[in-house]
Amino acid sequence: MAKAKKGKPAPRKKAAPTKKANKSAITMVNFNDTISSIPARLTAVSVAANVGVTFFGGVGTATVALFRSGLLINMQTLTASGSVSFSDVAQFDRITVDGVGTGAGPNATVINISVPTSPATPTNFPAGEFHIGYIVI
Amino acid sequence: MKPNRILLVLAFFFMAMGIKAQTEEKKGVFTEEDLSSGNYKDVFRSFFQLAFNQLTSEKKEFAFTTNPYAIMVKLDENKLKTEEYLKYTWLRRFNISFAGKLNEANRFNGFSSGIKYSIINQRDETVSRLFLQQALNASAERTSLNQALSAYIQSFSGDGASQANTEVNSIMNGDAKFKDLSPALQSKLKELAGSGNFNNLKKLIDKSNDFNLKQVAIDDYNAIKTNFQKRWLVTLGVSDTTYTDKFRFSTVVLSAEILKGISNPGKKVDVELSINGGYNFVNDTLKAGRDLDRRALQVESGFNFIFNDGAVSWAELKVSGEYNRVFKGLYTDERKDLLTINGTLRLRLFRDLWLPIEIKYDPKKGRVFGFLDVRFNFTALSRK
Repeated sequence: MAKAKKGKPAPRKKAAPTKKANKSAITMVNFNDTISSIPARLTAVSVAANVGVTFFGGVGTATVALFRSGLLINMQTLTASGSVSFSDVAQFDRITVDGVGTGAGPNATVINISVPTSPATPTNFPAGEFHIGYIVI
Repeated sequence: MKPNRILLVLAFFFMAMGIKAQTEEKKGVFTEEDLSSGNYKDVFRSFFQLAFNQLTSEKKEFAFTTNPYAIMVKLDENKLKTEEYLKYTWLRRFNISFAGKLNEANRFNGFSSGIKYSIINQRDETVSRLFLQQALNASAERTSLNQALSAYIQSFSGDGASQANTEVNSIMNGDAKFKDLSPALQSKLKELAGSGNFNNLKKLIDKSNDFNLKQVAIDDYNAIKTNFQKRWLVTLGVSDTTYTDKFRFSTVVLSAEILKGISNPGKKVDVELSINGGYNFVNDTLKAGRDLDRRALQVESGFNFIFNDGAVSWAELKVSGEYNRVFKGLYTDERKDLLTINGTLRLRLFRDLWLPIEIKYDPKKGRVFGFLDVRFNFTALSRK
């Protein structure tokens, strides 16, 4: 009980963060004003991501792998145009896409990832082998 | 405007379109246009060819050859998507051609048309799983390297990881040479090379620090592709020629052609076996009226020597023997059998422009006669 009495002033103390919250809200507004010039970033929580690989003018194959902290989390292979789904992708994960597209023209292989990455997608490759890594941002 | 002039204007229009489509490009993966021999392109076209045949003879002709799929792609590039591309493989095996003929006075002298089907085309790597597997095997170490570098990249925190990833992409995609990399990445690559899992990388690093990993990949891919162009090609076809004044056949030819590369890859001079034959049904001019009663067989067999600069040929010399036999409708003073020794020199003037000069020698009469052709090959695709 004594503890409960002592705890009564606590709500007053909690009022202080309310003032801080206002300050931080202002900070947030400023941050939002500048964020439009930089790429969108993934939130801290994990999300699902699709990695689409499309081959034009010929057959192709691609191996898509997801790495977190240098460890292989998931790896899948596409033997034709299609997409790979990762149910759990977090910021700073690395997605590698390696393979061969036999088609013609500058877009023999086109890669598209559904979450923001560095470098941004779509990425296209001419005929031949391709090797690229994307950092989820 | 006279018909032959209209056709000539059209011919130059197509040629101008093709030249405009060509752009300068850095050394990259060679296309089928680069790697195929001129002889192959004369046998089978995957896109378009414009030919001016026998320019110096009395029977000039200019011909346009394509395949139905190439026309479909020209109209809708979505047909290049893998599913569509594979669906129309049978259609790409067709060649259709149209030609306008001119007489000695350069006047219109009838049309000819033809259709050809490649019953065996092992040279089309774009639908070959075997080719894909060979290319994948060649790229396996670079795939492992890209994946192994994830641990290095993710040892950096925050934006450092993105920067390290950009640098790794630059070496994998040829934007940077090994010597241009940061000491940290160079050190990591040396460490991986020494691990025993990346022997090709170790050889490159030991040799020089000036290597471009992408160029190595391109060279590997081109070598496999060049080797693939030596495989079998067998076509069957039928062609016809009409009269000037009436749409009726004056000639019908049933033909077959076989090509097979026979030299080992990587030689300065490649050798290709080339066999073609045709059975001709021709109007017998000794008889009144119009018919197809004259029958003649023509078979040519020889070797095409392809002179390479890297993987791309710049000149070809085809040496062959040709046998002609008239089975029916032999003219007076005409020999039933005729054997000639042929030589065809093909010079590549530009990337897509070939100049074949054909010389025929009749050893019995000691007579030499020759033809000058111009062949212009172009694709439906931009090379940007």
